[in-house]
Amino acid sequence: MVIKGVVKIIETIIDYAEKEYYSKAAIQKNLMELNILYEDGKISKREYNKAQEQLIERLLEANKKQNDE
Amino acid sequence: MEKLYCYCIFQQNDLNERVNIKNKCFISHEDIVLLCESMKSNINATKEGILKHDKVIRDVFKQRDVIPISYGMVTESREQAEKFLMKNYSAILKLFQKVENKIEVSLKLTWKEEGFSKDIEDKEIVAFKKQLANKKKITEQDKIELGKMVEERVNDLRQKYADEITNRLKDYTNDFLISEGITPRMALNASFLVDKANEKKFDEAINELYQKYIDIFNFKYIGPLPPYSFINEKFEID
Repeated sequence: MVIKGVVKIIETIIDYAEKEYYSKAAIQKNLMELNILYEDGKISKREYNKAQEQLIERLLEANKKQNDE
Repeated sequence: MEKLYCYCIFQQNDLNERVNIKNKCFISHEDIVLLCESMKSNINATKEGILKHDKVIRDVFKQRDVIPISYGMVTESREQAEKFLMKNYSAILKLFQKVENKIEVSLKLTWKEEGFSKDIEDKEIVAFKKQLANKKKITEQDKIELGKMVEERVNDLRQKYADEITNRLKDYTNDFLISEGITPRMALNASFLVDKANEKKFDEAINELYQKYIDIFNFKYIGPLPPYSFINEKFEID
């Protein structure tokens, strides 16, 4: 039985292609997904913190890039 | 002039049912509300700012349909925010019609280690590998050739699974998006816009797919989310 938040997480939470790397909407969505997975106990605090740091870094980078354009 | 940091837009049809968010500023035009916050200085791009942005949108989303605003949007004044709502009112209403009573869920399928080779290696690839095994020396060209065959097979399978899965879910979804943002081991990265009335049926269909593909894929089914993937409109603030 699958429930939202789900199942076995082997790979890192951050899945993206270059094209989506600087998409602020995609990054914000990933952040929210990450929160759901953490709140549902599907990932550890360590995995959560690591993925969150990476997403925040990307979002700040995307924001800076947008402001520079 | 007071600068305002913007979080999201929601609809307010009934004035008695206010969104419960503290220390924020609500700017209304007709039945739409821009949720923002007064800024005393220029916005600081920080981790705290990002997490706060995320939390505010989540809190509103628990209470209402919401149009999330990208992190970092600031209006120069309250008047500018009002003008923005007024100018874009029709377009924003159309967006609300699209996402009304709907949630986004994402589904990510990743090949299991053991399932990958089994799934990918068709007769042609197996035959080519046997042919290579019998060669005295495997050249770079051989490796490239095999790599191409595997890549083609992976892409064909991705398409096959995307078709199978979206076909199974189509009755319970209003829209879907297959993302190109995939890792090499990922078979599908899809987002679905689902009417809240269909959420249970959609969940059941996902469970059915999970059982069907249990030996091949790891499933990540995540939601409910605000409809990030289905709002592509860009609005300018003048």
